[in-house]
Amino acid sequence: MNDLVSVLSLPAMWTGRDLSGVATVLLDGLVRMLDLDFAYLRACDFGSGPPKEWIRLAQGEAAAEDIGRALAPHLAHDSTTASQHIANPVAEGTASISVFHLGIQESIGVFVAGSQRPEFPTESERLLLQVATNQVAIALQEARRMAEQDAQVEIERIRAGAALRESERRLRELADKLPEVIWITALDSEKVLYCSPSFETVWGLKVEDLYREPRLWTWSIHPEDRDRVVANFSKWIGGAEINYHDIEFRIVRPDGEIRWIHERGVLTRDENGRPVEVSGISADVTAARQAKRALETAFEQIRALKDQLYTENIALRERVEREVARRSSELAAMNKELEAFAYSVSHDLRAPLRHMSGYSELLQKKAPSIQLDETCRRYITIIMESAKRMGNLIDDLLAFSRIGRAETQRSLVNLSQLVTEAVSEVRQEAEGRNIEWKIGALPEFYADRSMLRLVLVNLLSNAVKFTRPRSQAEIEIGCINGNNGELTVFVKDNGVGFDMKYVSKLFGVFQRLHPSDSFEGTGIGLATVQRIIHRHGGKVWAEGLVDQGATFYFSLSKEGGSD
Amino acid sequence: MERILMVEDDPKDVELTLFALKEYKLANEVVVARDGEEALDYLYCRAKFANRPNHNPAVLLLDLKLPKVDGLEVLKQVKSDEKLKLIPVVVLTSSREEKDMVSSYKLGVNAYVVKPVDFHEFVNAIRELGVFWALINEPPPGSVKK
Repeated sequence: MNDLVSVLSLPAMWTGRDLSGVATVLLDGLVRMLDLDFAYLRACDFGSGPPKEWIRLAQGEAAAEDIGRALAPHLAHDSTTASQHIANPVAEGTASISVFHLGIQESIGVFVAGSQRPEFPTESERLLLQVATNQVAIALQEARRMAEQDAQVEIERIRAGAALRESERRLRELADKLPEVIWITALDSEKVLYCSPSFETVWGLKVEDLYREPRLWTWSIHPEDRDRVVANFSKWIGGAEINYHDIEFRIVRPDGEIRWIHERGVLTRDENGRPVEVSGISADVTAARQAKRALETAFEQIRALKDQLYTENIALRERVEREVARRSSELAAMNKELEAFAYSVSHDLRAPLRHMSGYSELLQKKAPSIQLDETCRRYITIIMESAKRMGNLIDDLLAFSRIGRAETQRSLVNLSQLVTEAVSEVRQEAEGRNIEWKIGALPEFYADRSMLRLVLVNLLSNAVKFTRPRSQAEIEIGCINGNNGELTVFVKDNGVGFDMKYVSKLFGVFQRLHPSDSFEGTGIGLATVQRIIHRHGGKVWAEGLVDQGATFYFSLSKEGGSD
Repeated sequence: MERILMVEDDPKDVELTLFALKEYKLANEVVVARDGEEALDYLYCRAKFANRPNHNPAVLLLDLKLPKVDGLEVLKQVKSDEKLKLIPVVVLTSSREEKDMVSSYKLGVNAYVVKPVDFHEFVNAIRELGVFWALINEPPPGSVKK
């Protein structure tokens, strides 16, 4: 009964062992438990290899192969029916053996138990051997299943390895082909685990050298950037939170060339959160930086150009201002000269005229006593008249030149009032004449009052003069409201008029359209009118027909315009 | 004693002026200074006028454009001198320049007359001036009286 328990407890002994282990333990147990001289086990091949054999002797040693060969002729029959007496394969004499074929559907092996005892096996021994054989079969099957499983696992493992290698190959190919440098560094050993070959293009250093000396990485950083990068790296590695880092720095290649690197990295941490690996990608951004720099330079140049333009503009303005100032002072000087000239004309030119006039008069007074005839007296009269006429010319010319020199003094002028004044001034010339004055509604506007008065006096005086042949003269003064805040004032008469083909000559100095014996005048009046209106920024023009009157217009802006 | 001091550098103007005054028997009342300096010499009784009786003229007919000291300067000195400032001064000039007129009035001139080119007008103007200032006007104390 104890033996049975021992046999049944066999499976516990082979748990966790491989086939060989199971076989050894099994045979050992059976030899000991059943008092056998030897026990032999042959397991069929599980895959492609040869069968495996194990032998266990109670005493001495023997090779399993030798015993297997000796037993081979006796293994044909299963001993469940009878035992066989054979020459003892392990000692002198004979041996009784029981042969058990293992496996239910297929043969998975053979088990042989042998003893020198002739009565072997007894009935109880046969029973125990049968039970043990079942155990062995189970153990074998189990071991075989385990082995097969292991093999499958191995196959799986091999397959997985291949996939991994393929994946790794692809990744590596990608890493190798990328222009960016991809790298992995172990933090503990400070070894570079991987660095892609583009390192050689970007850094100009050998990857092998980097593997040998990881500090090449740090050494290659530009001296001006090194402290910053190292500090940044230490802070990153030391921090518990930050897993990502992003930095730009310069490197100095062995050939002296400086390149800009944009580096981004990630930290790999172990289960305790301790950083173990750093991997990253480093891109050569020199070209981009240069482009950016070029752009910035371009911008700076544009800015500088703008500043320069601004400065030049100021310089130009200053030059223009200087030029204007120079011209102004020149003009002022010319004006002064002109004034001096006018002054001396006023003084010195008139004196001889006065003398001509005066002495002619004295001569005329003496005429009776010196017996001057009619012709001589006429000559004297002509001299006197000419002198007087020249005096008037000088006066008008002086007035005309004064308009050019004088500043215009703008004020709000009541045109109606001004016309009234002008009419009363020319009324003297109109004495004894039959003149109908038509004065329309007139506005107020900004102008130089005394100059505008001169304009009106001149125009009205002309109207009075050139209507002289009319028994009923009509002189009309009115205003037309124009666009753009412009006012047009007109003086219309029914006098002798003029031929429009000479209209361009009307306003010229000393231009006269009538012989002086018909209408006296110096030919300066309308020139004066034009000069005054122009100085007010206005326009002056005339319309007329021979013998059908004339109309003179001038237009001014309500605000008074500019000089 | 001359009542009219005429300051005029042009002898023809002097002659014509005297002609105009003759009719009112005023020609003999006129003393002529040929420039501003001579006028001042007369007024201050110095140089060739050192021995003249110390009376102010009843009127001073003053041209502006004069050799040496010009008319405005004479006017200025007369009007700033306590003893002379009461003398009526008539500027008698060819100048129609507003500037001259304004300057003269600012210096205290009593009248400003532009010499007409026309002889009749000239004679009339001179006569009226002579008659008014030498005959009608009551001159200030210390002046020559008729």
